[in-house]
Amino acid sequence: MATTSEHPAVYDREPYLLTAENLQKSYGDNLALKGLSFSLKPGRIMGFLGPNGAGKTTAIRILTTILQPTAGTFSVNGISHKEPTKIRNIIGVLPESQGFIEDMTGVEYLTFYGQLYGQRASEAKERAAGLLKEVGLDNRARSLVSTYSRGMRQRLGIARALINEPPLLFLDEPTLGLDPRGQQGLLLLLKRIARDRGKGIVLCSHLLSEIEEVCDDVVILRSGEIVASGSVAEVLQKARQNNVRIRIPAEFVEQAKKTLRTIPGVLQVSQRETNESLYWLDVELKDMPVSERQAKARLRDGLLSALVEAEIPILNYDAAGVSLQDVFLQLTDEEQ
Amino acid sequence: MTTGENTKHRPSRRATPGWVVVTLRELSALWQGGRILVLLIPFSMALSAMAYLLATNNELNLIPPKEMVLLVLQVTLGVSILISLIIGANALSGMRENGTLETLLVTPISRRQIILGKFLAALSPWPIILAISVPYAAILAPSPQFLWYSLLVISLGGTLVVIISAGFGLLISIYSNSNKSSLSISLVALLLSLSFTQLPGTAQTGNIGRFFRRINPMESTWSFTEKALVNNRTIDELTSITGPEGNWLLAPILGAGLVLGLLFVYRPKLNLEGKLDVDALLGLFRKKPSAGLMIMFILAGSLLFAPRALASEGVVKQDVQISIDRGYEVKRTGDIFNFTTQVKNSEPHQQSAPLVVAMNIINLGSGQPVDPEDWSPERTQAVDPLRPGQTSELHWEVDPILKGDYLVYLVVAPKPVGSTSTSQPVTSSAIHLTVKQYTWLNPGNVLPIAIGIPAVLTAAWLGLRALRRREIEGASPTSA
Repeated sequence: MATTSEHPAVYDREPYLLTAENLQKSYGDNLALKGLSFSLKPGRIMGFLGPNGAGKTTAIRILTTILQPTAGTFSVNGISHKEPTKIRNIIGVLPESQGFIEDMTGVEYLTFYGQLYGQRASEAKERAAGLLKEVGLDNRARSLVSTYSRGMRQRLGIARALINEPPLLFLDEPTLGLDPRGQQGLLLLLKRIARDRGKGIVLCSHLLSEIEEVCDDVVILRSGEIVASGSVAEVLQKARQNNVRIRIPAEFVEQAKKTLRTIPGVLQVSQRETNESLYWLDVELKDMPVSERQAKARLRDGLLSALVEAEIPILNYDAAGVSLQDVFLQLTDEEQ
Repeated sequence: MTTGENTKHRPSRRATPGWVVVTLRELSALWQGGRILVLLIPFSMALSAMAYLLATNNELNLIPPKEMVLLVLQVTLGVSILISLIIGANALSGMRENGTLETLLVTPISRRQIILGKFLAALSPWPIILAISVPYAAILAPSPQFLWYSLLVISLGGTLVVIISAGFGLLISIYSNSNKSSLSISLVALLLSLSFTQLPGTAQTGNIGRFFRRINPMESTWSFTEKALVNNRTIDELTSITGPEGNWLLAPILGAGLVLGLLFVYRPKLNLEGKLDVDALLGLFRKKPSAGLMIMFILAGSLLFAPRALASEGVVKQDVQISIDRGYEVKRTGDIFNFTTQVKNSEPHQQSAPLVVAMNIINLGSGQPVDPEDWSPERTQAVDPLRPGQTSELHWEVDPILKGDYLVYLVVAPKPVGSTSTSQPVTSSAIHLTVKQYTWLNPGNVLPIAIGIPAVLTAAWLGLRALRRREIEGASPTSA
């Protein structure tokens, strides 16, 4: 699944840090997760995407042993989910709705959690000081957490998730509520943690741009199912190779659809109204291997030629500008 | 920082058990943070006002010293029950509410250790509050011996009910989604457990009333304390299963056992989401019938050892006499004195009926009788049928609790032979008992305690705050 890409020679030799097989979770008759399977290798960041109610939080809570799966299995560093205490020892978690113990200082807070992981007080305090420095809070180590800003709290939360030196981190909406500078700083920190310290990170976020920016792999969920997974590059490339968007005036929509459907290689043409007089046509082309890039380019050119010959005005043409957001919207559109 | 540990990470050797870490953290929040001390300052001020008024107000000063001590200790126990209940009820639902529970649940510490740490912290105010009340009890107690005895009694009963209240609050908190629901359910339960005292007297003293006093740990402990401190009952008498009183600590012991069993043997699931509602509570007993059986066991056990019903009275005419070994006695309040009576069957040929000898005490100043139960461990004594001419010697103990002039006398009542007959009670001569002013209680001693204890607590609170401030720096908010 989400394991190939930029450094295959390095990563393919390494064992999986996280593997999930057919994870399911039901609440009564409601099936919240319908069989998730994916895997993650060390040093990589996996983005977990999906609209509200897609099952992201449920999946994360299962993987962090807060919830038990109804069916399926997962393992962290080879440890089965049936041994939750062992798994808790080797993961770090930053929950979305995390709270902080307000009446502790930053260093007391991290020391407390370090001790819960079995560290001696002196050892935990030493680690706490190091982590506070790493996340840029060393100058506020002795300040009460209640005086921390939102961004400082998020960085403190990440430091807490690292207190036990876990190989795997789960971060749920870590940039939520941060200003752009704060977001950027946090993303750089995550990249550094993954790259420099070899941690695997599962990152839940609604900000698709940040997933695109920092993640190596992506899993897109819809209604408890995986609708796309793989490396970010793979998902984007697939979308780029197979989709073309053309904007035309409303009165030419039917004529254009008819014209495009006669072209060999066009699988489907659908329309999206952008305002009363303009429409986007989404043209899905037949799947072609990456090696046939030139053939696909010729096919796209053929679409333009056919429309020009039919004297249909083309207002916009987008064959390569598909973003992860487009893929996300396309794949998670419930009406499709 | 270390790197590359991702595939062979091993946690460090555990230096401090997780439950100790949680307990210390909770104690720090409760005590160093000043949350409890702030409550204890008004508590000590209330005790100060009470002690001062009891010692200096003429009308209140008529309350026997033992009852004054009982009052102080019952207030202490009531406050401890309330505080431990609130701390327990707030312990986990509060973490759910402020979002700190999830970060605790993803650590390797077990749920049981989390619960144990919270539970121990919820018990912590009890010994401190009891210690605060000791100086007040000491200045009001009629003697040092009574002070130590009263502390032993309150420690026995109080520890059990504080375990129950803290544990009950914690159990509710485990299943509650918010502080609001856990606190309201816990406080309603506490009010229900105390509501019995608001019923009319007949409802409390009938068989059903006695039964409910028995099975209610709060009521049982209250009765245990009162009987031990004011009604001259010994701890042995009040905890003997086979004695006439039954075991007044049975319900608290079983209640504490039930709470501890539910918390640490049944092991309730501590989940991220709390789902407390009536259905969930009923579901608990449906899933675990053993819990329901334990409650039934408590009910049955308490019923089994409920006080014996009083024997019905009857009638017969007998020639019995009763004599007393003295005619005059001068004592101070709190001084115990003993005397002996002899009951003689003067019938030359006839064996007497079973006899009951009852002690009566009349206040010559007011002309009113006093309650002998408050003045003596034994208000009545039974005498087996006496052979012709036989004499039975009975020993009595009187603990004068109020100054004044009294007559102490005894009445022998032969048991009637049937429901349509009666008997002729015989009265002894009286002891004229003069009880002098209680001298242990010196109003001059009250003021230093009444002012000193709240002052010490306030100083402790301010001192802890100052120490804490020294550990903290940069109190002003900073943006990211």
